[in-house]
Amino acid sequence: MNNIYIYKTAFLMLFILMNFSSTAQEGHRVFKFDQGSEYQTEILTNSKAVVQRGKQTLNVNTVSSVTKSFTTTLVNDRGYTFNIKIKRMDNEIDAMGKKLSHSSETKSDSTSVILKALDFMLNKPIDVQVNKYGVIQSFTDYKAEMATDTLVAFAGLQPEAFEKGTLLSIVADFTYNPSVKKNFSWGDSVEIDKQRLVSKFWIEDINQKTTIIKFTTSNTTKLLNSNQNGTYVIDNATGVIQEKILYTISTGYQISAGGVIYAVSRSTSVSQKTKRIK
Amino acid sequence: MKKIVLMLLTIAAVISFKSAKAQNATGNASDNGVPVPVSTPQVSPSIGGGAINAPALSVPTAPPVVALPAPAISAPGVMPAVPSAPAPPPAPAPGTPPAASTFSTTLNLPSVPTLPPIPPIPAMPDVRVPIGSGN
Repeated sequence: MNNIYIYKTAFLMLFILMNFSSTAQEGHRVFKFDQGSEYQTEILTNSKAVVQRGKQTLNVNTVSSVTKSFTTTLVNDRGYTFNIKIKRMDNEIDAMGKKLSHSSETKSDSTSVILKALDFMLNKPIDVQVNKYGVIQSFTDYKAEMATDTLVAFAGLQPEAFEKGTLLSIVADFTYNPSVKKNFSWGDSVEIDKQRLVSKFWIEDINQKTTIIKFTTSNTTKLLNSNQNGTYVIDNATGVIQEKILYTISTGYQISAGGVIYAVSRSTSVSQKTKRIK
Repeated sequence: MKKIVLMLLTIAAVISFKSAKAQNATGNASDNGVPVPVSTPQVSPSIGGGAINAPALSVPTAPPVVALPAPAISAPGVMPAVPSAPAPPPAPAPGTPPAASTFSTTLNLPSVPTLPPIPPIPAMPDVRVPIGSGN
């Protein structure tokens, strides 16, 4: 009799724990992509930056238009492999009245190192593996060479960071639920090594087809603080972020390789649209 | 009999461990239910003195968002508000070394701020506790 009681208790515990284990994953959206499908993202970035030291001030204004493709090259039980590359890029850089234009459509034989570096960034595919939840599992190395962070920042491009454990940039871990109403808000706060990112999200509008989520973030680091306001328009059927719009204002300092300290500020607007083209 | 019970409890412990891992607040599943502190950005930044001999830095006005061509899916109310300028961090002390670079380059460009990352949406708002719900 005693043994039967122990059996029953053990089975009950097992059942309860198995139930907890399965519900723990239910909160995440499972994405479905077809083999060979291609999503195209157009990103338009408008930026004004000021670099200042003493009485010297350098203004850098940029307008860039970038077209990226996300092609599903492998579909299996574990997830998907995307081949991601920049297909097209137009840049206009105005630094202290001197203008520099770059277009991937126009072959230039310029000796400009900046133009060569921007050309270098085109059609450099990266294979990114994501699981069925859209979380990056691995990616092939991007050979930066000339396309450094400094160039990306100078040209006013929004850097795309592929980081294991983060969501692929074109999808949102959001599933339409009629119980989630307009003005529902929630937050996220991350603090790592003197860097702090505090975000607040809220539902601006929601229907069965699309969800509009707005957010505001405050990002503080050792040398640079940023405030960001933005909007996501999510296609509820696929979980793909159809549209991203954001404003960012940053102020702080930069230290050159020679140890010279500059005060810097930057205001940026980004408009991004993603659609399936194949 | 005891062996069977021990096995069942071991399996239960393994499942319990997996369950705990699924809730360990990594990636996009962080801070479940933690209310967001109110940020207090200042509109008029002032540059900290000492390290650099610079007047107050003017923050450029945010440029307009240029609308992209079709597909036109923008709905009314999609445009975000322009954020206020944050107060800059304390000025670094003279002699502060620059961040270690992982690459070498032949480019010599003025170093303007890199755009901060666009935050992903944290997992499933409907499983989170709304801000101000008293948690």
